[in-house]
Amino acid sequence: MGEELVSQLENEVVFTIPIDFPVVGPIAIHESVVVTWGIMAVIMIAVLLMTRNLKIVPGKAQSLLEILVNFVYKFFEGNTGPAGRRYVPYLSTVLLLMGVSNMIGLVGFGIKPPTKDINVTAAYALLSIILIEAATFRGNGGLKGFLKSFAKPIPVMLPINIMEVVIRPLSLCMRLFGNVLGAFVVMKLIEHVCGLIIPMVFSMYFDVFDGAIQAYVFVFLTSLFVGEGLEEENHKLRHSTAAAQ
Amino acid sequence: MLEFDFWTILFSIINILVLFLFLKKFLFGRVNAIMEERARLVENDINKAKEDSQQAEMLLKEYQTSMSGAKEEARKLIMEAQKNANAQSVAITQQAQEEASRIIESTRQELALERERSIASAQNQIVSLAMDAAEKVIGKKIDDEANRAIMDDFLNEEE
Repeated sequence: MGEELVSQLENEVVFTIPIDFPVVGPIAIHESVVVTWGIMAVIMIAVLLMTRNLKIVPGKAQSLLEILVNFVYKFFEGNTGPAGRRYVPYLSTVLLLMGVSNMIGLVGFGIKPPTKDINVTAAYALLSIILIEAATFRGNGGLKGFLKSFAKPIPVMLPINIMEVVIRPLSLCMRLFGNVLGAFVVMKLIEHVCGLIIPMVFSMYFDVFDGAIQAYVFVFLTSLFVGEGLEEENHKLRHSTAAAQ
Repeated sequence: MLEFDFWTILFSIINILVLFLFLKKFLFGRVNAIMEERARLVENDINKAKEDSQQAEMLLKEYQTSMSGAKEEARKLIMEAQKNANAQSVAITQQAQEEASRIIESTRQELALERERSIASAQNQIVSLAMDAAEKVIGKKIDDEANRAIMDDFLNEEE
Protein backbone atom coordinates (compact mmCIF):
# COMPACT_ATOMS: atom_id res chain seq x y z
CA MET A 1 0.00 0.00 0.00
CA GLY A 2 2.75 2.38 0.91
CA GLU A 3 4.46 1.94 -2.38
CA GLU A 4 1.27 2.48 -4.31
CA LEU A 5 0.55 5.68 -2.41
CA VAL A 6 4.04 6.96 -3.04
CA SER A 7 3.64 6.22 -6.74
CA GLN A 8 0.35 8.16 -6.70
CA LEU A 9 2.12 11.09 -5.12
CA GLU A 10 4.77 11.02 -7.77
CA ASN A 11 4.49 13.81 -10.30
CA GLU A 12 5.25 11.85 -13.41
CA VAL A 13 7.05 13.15 -16.44
CA VAL A 14 4.56 12.80 -19.28
CA PHE A 15 7.01 13.50 -22.07
CA THR A 16 10.29 15.17 -22.71
CA ILE A 17 10.81 17.72 -25.42
CA PRO A 18 13.31 15.73 -27.46
CA ILE A 19 15.60 18.60 -28.23
CA ASP A 20 18.92 18.84 -26.48
CA PHE A 21 18.79 22.53 -25.54
CA PRO A 22 22.17 24.07 -24.80
CA VAL A 23 22.99 24.39 -21.09
CA VAL A 24 19.63 23.06 -19.82
CA GLY A 25 19.36 19.90 -21.86
CA PRO A 26 16.04 18.28 -22.79
CA ILE A 27 12.99 19.76 -21.02
CA ALA A 28 10.75 17.34 -19.14
CA ILE A 29 7.03 18.17 -19.20
CA HIS A 30 5.34 16.99 -16.02
CA GLU A 31 1.85 15.64 -15.49
CA SER A 32 0.67 18.76 -13.67
CA VAL A 33 1.45 20.98 -16.67
CA VAL A 34 -0.31 18.65 -19.11
CA VAL A 35 -3.42 18.42 -16.92
CA THR A 36 -3.46 22.22 -16.70
CA TRP A 37 -3.36 22.38 -20.48
CA GLY A 38 -6.39 20.14 -20.65
CA ILE A 39 -8.24 22.30 -18.12
CA MET A 40 -7.30 25.44 -20.03
CA ALA A 41 -8.53 23.96 -23.30
CA VAL A 42 -11.90 23.12 -21.76
CA ILE A 43 -12.22 26.57 -20.17
CA MET A 44 -11.26 28.29 -23.42
CA ILE A 45 -13.76 26.34 -25.48
CA ALA A 46 -16.51 26.96 -22.92
CA VAL A 47 -15.75 30.69 -22.84
CA LEU A 48 -15.70 30.93 -26.62
CA LEU A 49 -19.05 29.14 -26.79
CA MET A 50 -20.59 31.36 -24.11
CA THR A 51 -19.35 34.67 -25.50
CA ARG A 52 -19.87 33.69 -29.11
CA ASN A 53 -22.86 35.79 -29.94
CA LEU A 54 -23.43 38.44 -27.30
CA LYS A 55 -26.42 40.69 -27.87
CA ILE A 56 -27.58 44.04 -26.55
CA VAL A 57 -30.76 42.35 -25.41
CA PRO A 58 -29.39 39.31 -23.57
CA GLY A 59 -30.80 35.82 -23.61
CA LYS A 60 -30.89 33.60 -20.55
CA ALA A 61 -27.35 32.25 -20.93
CA GLN A 62 -25.92 35.69 -21.58
CA SER A 63 -27.77 37.15 -18.60
CA LEU A 64 -26.29 34.47 -16.37
CA LEU A 65 -22.83 35.15 -17.77
CA GLU A 66 -23.20 38.88 -17.17
CA ILE A 67 -24.44 38.29 -13.65
CA LEU A 68 -21.40 36.10 -12.97
CA VAL A 69 -18.98 38.65 -14.41
CA ASN A 70 -20.61 41.43 -12.40
CA PHE A 71 -20.50 39.24 -9.34
CA VAL A 72 -16.74 38.62 -9.56
CA TYR A 73 -16.15 42.32 -10.16
CA LYS A 74 -18.19 43.18 -7.08
CA PHE A 75 -16.56 40.48 -4.99
CA PHE A 76 -12.97 41.45 -5.82
CA GLU A 77 -13.63 45.18 -5.68
CA GLY A 78 -14.95 44.60 -2.18
CA ASN A 79 -11.44 43.49 -1.22
CA THR A 80 -9.27 45.67 -3.42
CA GLY A 81 -11.35 48.83 -3.47
CA PRO A 82 -12.40 50.65 -6.63
CA ALA A 83 -8.80 51.07 -7.84
CA GLY A 84 -8.41 47.29 -7.99
CA ARG A 85 -10.95 46.96 -10.80
CA ARG A 86 -8.14 46.56 -13.34
CA TYR A 87 -6.84 43.45 -11.55
CA VAL A 88 -10.18 41.64 -11.51
CA PRO A 89 -9.66 39.71 -14.77
CA TYR A 90 -6.39 38.25 -13.44
CA LEU A 91 -7.83 37.41 -10.04
CA SER A 92 -10.86 35.74 -11.64
CA THR A 93 -8.58 33.76 -13.94
CA VAL A 94 -6.69 32.43 -10.93
CA LEU A 95 -9.91 31.64 -9.11
CA LEU A 96 -11.31 29.74 -12.07
CA LEU A 97 -8.17 27.85 -13.04
CA MET A 98 -7.25 27.02 -9.46
CA GLY A 99 -10.78 26.00 -8.53
CA VAL A 100 -11.05 23.64 -11.47
CA SER A 101 -7.52 22.36 -10.83
CA ASN A 102 -8.34 21.58 -7.20
CA MET A 103 -11.48 19.65 -8.16
CA ILE A 104 -10.21 17.93 -11.28
CA GLY A 105 -9.68 14.70 -9.27
CA LEU A 106 -13.48 14.24 -9.43
CA VAL A 107 -13.26 13.49 -13.13
CA GLY A 108 -11.47 10.24 -12.40
CA PHE A 109 -9.32 8.43 -14.97
CA GLY A 110 -6.44 8.79 -12.53
CA ILE A 111 -6.21 12.52 -13.20
CA LYS A 112 -4.47 14.19 -10.28
CA PRO A 113 -5.02 17.82 -9.33
CA PRO A 114 -2.16 19.94 -10.70
CA THR A 115 -2.21 22.01 -7.52
CA LYS A 116 -0.87 19.07 -5.54
CA ASP A 117 2.41 19.83 -7.34
CA ILE A 118 4.27 22.43 -5.28
CA ASN A 119 5.78 23.88 -8.47
CA VAL A 120 2.33 24.84 -9.71
CA THR A 121 1.33 26.46 -6.43
CA ALA A 122 4.69 28.22 -6.42
CA ALA A 123 3.88 29.62 -9.85
CA TYR A 124 0.55 30.96 -8.58
CA ALA A 125 2.24 32.44 -5.51
CA LEU A 126 5.01 34.06 -7.56
CA LEU A 127 2.50 35.73 -9.84
CA SER A 128 0.48 36.81 -6.81
CA ILE A 129 3.41 38.53 -5.11
CA ILE A 130 4.37 40.21 -8.39
CA LEU A 131 0.80 41.45 -8.70
CA ILE A 132 0.72 42.61 -5.07
CA GLU A 133 3.99 44.51 -5.34
CA ALA A 134 3.07 45.98 -8.73
CA ALA A 135 -0.25 47.16 -7.31
CA THR A 136 1.54 48.63 -4.29
CA PHE A 137 4.00 50.38 -6.62
CA ARG A 138 1.25 51.85 -8.73
CA GLY A 139 -1.10 52.58 -5.85
CA ASN A 140 1.56 54.63 -4.07
CA GLY A 141 2.41 56.55 -7.19
CA GLY A 142 5.92 55.43 -8.09
CA LEU A 143 9.14 54.25 -6.52
CA LYS A 144 9.27 56.79 -3.71
CA GLY A 145 5.80 55.97 -2.48
CA PHE A 146 6.47 52.27 -2.94
CA LEU A 147 9.57 52.38 -0.74
CA LYS A 148 7.79 54.54 1.80
CA SER A 149 4.97 52.00 2.00
CA PHE A 150 7.40 49.62 3.71
CA ALA A 151 7.61 51.96 6.68
CA LYS A 152 3.86 52.00 7.20
CA PRO A 153 1.99 52.25 9.44
CA ILE A 154 5.03 52.91 11.68
CA PRO A 155 8.76 52.71 10.81
CA VAL A 156 9.26 49.88 13.35
CA MET A 157 7.31 47.66 10.95
CA LEU A 158 10.03 48.00 8.29
CA PRO A 159 11.71 44.59 8.81
CA ILE A 160 8.38 42.83 9.10
CA ASN A 161 7.11 44.50 5.93
CA ILE A 162 10.22 43.45 4.04
CA MET A 163 9.91 39.88 5.29
CA GLU A 164 6.29 39.88 4.18
CA VAL A 165 7.43 40.12 0.56
CA VAL A 166 8.76 36.58 1.00
CA ILE A 167 6.37 35.30 3.61
CA ARG A 168 3.21 36.14 1.73
CA PRO A 169 3.91 34.10 -1.41
CA LEU A 170 5.47 31.34 0.64
CA SER A 171 2.41 31.02 2.86
CA LEU A 172 0.08 31.21 -0.14
CA CYS A 173 2.08 28.53 -1.95
CA MET A 174 2.42 26.22 1.00
CA ARG A 175 -1.17 26.55 2.21
CA LEU A 176 -2.54 25.58 -1.16
CA PHE A 177 -0.03 22.83 -1.75
CA GLY A 178 -0.47 21.37 1.75
CA ASN A 179 -4.25 21.41 1.62
CA VAL A 180 -4.57 19.87 -1.81
CA LEU A 181 -1.88 17.30 -1.14
CA GLY A 182 -3.36 16.47 2.25
CA ALA A 183 -6.82 16.06 0.77
CA PHE A 184 -5.38 13.95 -2.02
CA VAL A 185 -3.53 11.65 0.39
CA VAL A 186 -6.54 11.25 2.69
CA MET A 187 -8.78 10.47 -0.28
CA LYS A 188 -6.36 7.88 -1.61
CA LEU A 189 -6.21 6.25 1.83
CA ILE A 190 -10.01 6.17 2.13
CA GLU A 191 -10.36 4.76 -1.36
CA HIS A 192 -7.80 2.11 -0.46
CA VAL A 193 -9.59 1.12 2.72
CA CYS A 194 -13.27 1.16 1.79
CA GLY A 195 -14.55 0.37 -1.66
CA LEU A 196 -16.50 2.77 -3.85
CA ILE A 197 -19.51 4.40 -2.15
CA ILE A 198 -18.06 5.82 1.07
CA PRO A 199 -15.20 7.67 -0.68
CA MET A 200 -17.79 9.61 -2.68
CA VAL A 201 -19.11 11.19 0.50
CA PHE A 202 -15.63 12.14 1.62
CA SER A 203 -14.78 13.30 -1.86
CA MET A 204 -17.57 15.86 -1.53
CA TYR A 205 -15.68 17.36 1.36
CA PHE A 206 -12.06 16.87 0.36
CA ASP A 207 -12.32 17.52 -3.34
CA VAL A 208 -15.27 19.85 -3.79
CA PHE A 209 -15.51 21.80 -0.55
CA ASP A 210 -11.83 21.97 0.30
CA GLY A 211 -10.87 22.60 -3.30
CA ALA A 212 -13.28 25.49 -3.60
CA ILE A 213 -12.33 26.90 -0.20
CA GLN A 214 -8.63 26.81 -1.00
CA ALA A 215 -9.05 28.54 -4.34
CA TYR A 216 -11.29 31.10 -2.64
CA VAL A 217 -8.80 31.68 0.19
CA PHE A 218 -5.95 32.09 -2.26
CA VAL A 219 -7.60 34.79 -4.38
CA PHE A 220 -9.23 36.33 -1.33
CA LEU A 221 -5.86 36.84 0.37
CA THR A 222 -4.22 38.01 -2.86
CA SER A 223 -6.96 40.58 -3.47
CA LEU A 224 -6.78 41.67 0.16
CA PHE A 225 -3.02 42.28 -0.12
CA VAL A 226 -3.58 44.10 -3.41
CA GLY A 227 -6.20 46.25 -1.71
CA GLU A 228 -3.72 47.01 1.06
CA GLY A 229 -1.22 48.24 -1.53
CA LEU A 230 -3.89 50.33 -3.25
CA GLU A 231 -5.05 52.03 -0.06
CA GLU A 232 -3.78 55.45 -1.05
CA GLU A 233 -5.17 55.32 -4.59
CA ASN A 234 -8.50 54.09 -3.29
CA HIS A 235 -8.56 56.94 -0.82
CA LYS A 236 -7.93 59.43 -3.61
CA LEU A 237 -10.53 57.80 -5.85
CA ARG A 238 -13.18 57.83 -3.16
CA HIS A 239 -12.29 61.40 -2.33
CA SER A 240 -12.57 62.53 -5.95
CA THR A 241 -15.89 60.74 -6.49
CA ALA A 242 -17.20 62.18 -3.24
CA ALA A 243 -16.11 65.63 -4.38
CA ALA A 244 -17.72 65.09 -7.76
CA GLN A 245 -21.06 64.31 -6.20
CA MET B 1 7.23 15.03 -4.18
CA LEU B 2 8.78 18.21 -2.83
CA GLU B 3 11.35 18.71 -5.52
CA PHE B 4 11.39 22.08 -7.22
CA ASP B 5 11.42 21.95 -10.97
CA PHE B 6 12.16 25.20 -12.76
CA TRP B 7 10.43 24.16 -15.97
CA THR B 8 7.20 23.20 -14.27
CA ILE B 9 7.11 26.56 -12.50
CA LEU B 10 7.83 28.39 -15.75
CA PHE B 11 5.23 26.44 -17.71
CA SER B 12 2.68 26.93 -14.97
CA ILE B 13 3.30 30.68 -15.01
CA ILE B 14 2.97 30.70 -18.79
CA ASN B 15 -0.24 28.67 -18.50
CA ILE B 16 -1.76 31.10 -16.04
CA LEU B 17 -0.74 34.14 -18.07
CA VAL B 18 -2.03 32.63 -21.32
CA LEU B 19 -5.36 31.80 -19.76
CA PHE B 20 -5.46 35.27 -18.19
CA LEU B 21 -4.88 36.99 -21.53
CA PHE B 22 -7.42 34.72 -23.17
CA LEU B 23 -10.10 35.39 -20.58
CA LYS B 24 -9.30 39.10 -20.53
CA LYS B 25 -9.88 39.33 -24.26
CA PHE B 26 -12.67 36.86 -24.84
CA LEU B 27 -14.58 36.81 -21.56
CA PHE B 28 -14.13 40.16 -19.82
CA GLY B 29 -13.44 42.11 -23.00
CA ARG B 30 -16.54 40.88 -24.77
CA VAL B 31 -18.88 40.96 -21.80
CA ASN B 32 -17.74 44.42 -20.69
CA ALA B 33 -17.96 45.71 -24.25
CA ILE B 34 -21.53 44.54 -24.66
CA MET B 35 -22.53 45.91 -21.26
CA GLU B 36 -20.92 49.26 -22.02
CA GLU B 37 -22.63 49.37 -25.38
CA ARG B 38 -25.94 48.68 -23.70
CA ALA B 39 -25.32 51.38 -21.12
CA ARG B 40 -24.43 53.82 -23.88
CA LEU B 41 -27.54 52.90 -25.84
CA VAL B 42 -29.77 53.43 -22.83
CA GLU B 43 -28.09 56.73 -22.09
CA ASN B 44 -28.55 57.82 -25.70
CA ASP B 45 -32.21 56.88 -25.57
CA ILE B 46 -32.74 58.82 -22.38
CA ASN B 47 -30.93 61.83 -23.78
CA LYS B 48 -32.94 61.62 -27.00
CA ALA B 49 -36.20 61.43 -25.09
CA LYS B 50 -35.18 64.42 -23.01
CA GLU B 51 -34.30 66.36 -26.15
CA ASP B 52 -37.56 65.39 -27.82
CA SER B 53 -39.65 66.51 -24.89
CA GLN B 54 -37.74 69.77 -24.76
CA GLN B 55 -38.38 70.31 -28.44
CA ALA B 56 -42.04 69.49 -28.03
CA GLU B 57 -42.31 71.98 -25.21
CA MET B 58 -40.63 74.61 -27.34
CA LEU B 59 -43.00 73.91 -30.23
CA LEU B 60 -45.97 74.13 -27.91
CA LYS B 61 -44.77 77.47 -26.59
CA GLU B 62 -44.20 78.71 -30.12
CA TYR B 63 -47.64 77.56 -31.14
CA GLN B 64 -49.20 79.21 -28.14
CA THR B 65 -47.51 82.54 -28.84
CA SER B 66 -48.46 82.39 -32.51
CA MET B 67 -52.02 81.52 -31.55
CA SER B 68 -52.32 84.43 -29.16
CA GLY B 69 -50.73 86.66 -31.81
CA ALA B 70 -53.29 85.51 -34.34
CA LYS B 71 -56.10 86.18 -31.90
CA GLU B 72 -54.78 89.68 -31.31
CA GLU B 73 -54.49 90.20 -35.03
CA ALA B 74 -58.04 89.03 -35.60
CA ARG B 75 -59.34 91.28 -32.86
CA LYS B 76 -57.50 94.21 -34.39
CA LEU B 77 -58.86 93.43 -37.84
CA ILE B 78 -62.42 93.22 -36.58
CA MET B 79 -62.04 96.45 -34.68
CA GLU B 80 -60.64 98.17 -37.72
CA ALA B 81 -63.41 96.84 -39.90
CA GLN B 82 -65.97 98.01 -37.40
CA LYS B 83 -64.40 101.43 -37.29
CA ASN B 84 -64.32 101.57 -41.06
CA ALA B 85 -67.93 100.52 -41.29
CA ASN B 86 -68.94 103.10 -38.71
CA ALA B 87 -67.08 105.82 -40.51
CA GLN B 88 -68.57 104.76 -43.81
CA SER B 89 -72.11 104.67 -42.44
CA VAL B 90 -71.65 108.09 -40.89
CA ALA B 91 -70.29 109.41 -44.16
CA ILE B 92 -73.13 107.89 -46.15
CA THR B 93 -75.76 109.22 -43.79
CA GLN B 94 -74.22 112.64 -43.90
CA GLN B 95 -74.03 112.55 -47.64
CA ALA B 96 -77.67 111.46 -47.86
CA GLN B 97 -78.72 114.20 -45.50
CA GLU B 98 -76.82 116.77 -47.51
CA GLU B 99 -78.35 115.48 -50.69
CA ALA B 100 -81.81 115.57 -49.19
CA SER B 101 -81.42 119.10 -47.86
CA ARG B 102 -80.03 120.18 -51.22
CA ILE B 103 -83.00 118.70 -53.02
CA ILE B 104 -85.39 120.29 -50.55
CA GLU B 105 -83.71 123.64 -50.97
CA SER B 106 -83.76 123.52 -54.75
CA THR B 107 -87.37 122.42 -54.74
CA ARG B 108 -88.27 125.24 -52.43
CA GLN B 109 -86.49 127.73 -54.68
CA GLU B 110 -88.22 126.35 -57.71
CA LEU B 111 -91.55 126.56 -56.00
CA ALA B 112 -90.93 130.16 -54.99
CA LEU B 113 -89.89 131.00 -58.52
CA GLU B 114 -93.01 129.36 -59.94
CA ARG B 115 -95.22 131.20 -57.51
CA GLU B 116 -93.67 134.51 -58.39
CA ARG B 117 -94.02 133.75 -62.00
CA SER B 118 -97.66 132.76 -61.68
CA ILE B 119 -98.38 135.84 -59.57
CA ALA B 120 -96.73 137.98 -62.21
CA SER B 121 -98.77 136.43 -65.00
CA ALA B 122 -101.92 136.76 -62.93
CA GLN B 123 -101.15 140.43 -62.37
CA ASN B 124 -100.66 140.86 -66.07
CA GLN B 125 -103.98 139.32 -66.84
CA ILE B 126 -105.72 141.27 -64.10
CA VAL B 127 -104.27 144.47 -65.54
CA SER B 128 -105.39 143.52 -69.02
CA LEU B 129 -108.82 142.64 -67.68
CA ALA B 130 -109.08 145.83 -65.75
CA MET B 131 -108.05 147.84 -68.76
CA ASP B 132 -110.50 145.98 -70.96
CA ALA B 133 -113.19 146.66 -68.42
CA ALA B 134 -112.26 150.32 -68.14
CA GLU B 135 -112.27 150.70 -71.95
CA LYS B 136 -115.73 149.29 -72.06
CA VAL B 137 -116.82 151.62 -69.31
CA ILE B 138 -115.30 154.72 -70.85
CA GLY B 139 -115.93 153.64 -74.34
CA LYS B 140 -112.69 154.69 -75.66
CA LYS B 141 -109.29 153.41 -76.10
CA ILE B 142 -107.10 154.08 -73.14
CA ASP B 143 -103.53 155.08 -73.63
CA ASP B 144 -101.87 151.81 -73.08
CA GLU B 145 -98.61 152.77 -71.62
CA ALA B 146 -99.68 155.28 -69.09
CA ASN B 147 -102.71 153.44 -67.89
CA ARG B 148 -100.98 150.20 -67.52
CA ALA B 149 -98.47 151.86 -65.23
CA ILE B 150 -101.31 153.31 -63.15
CA MET B 151 -102.89 149.89 -62.88
CA ASP B 152 -99.73 148.32 -61.90
CA ASP B 153 -99.26 150.89 -59.18
CA PHE B 154 -102.76 150.26 -57.98
CA LEU B 155 -102.29 146.57 -57.88
CA ASN B 156 -99.05 146.93 -56.08
CA GLU B 157 -100.69 149.14 -53.51
CA GLU B 158 -103.33 146.51 -53.02
CA GLU B 159 -100.81 143.94 -52.12
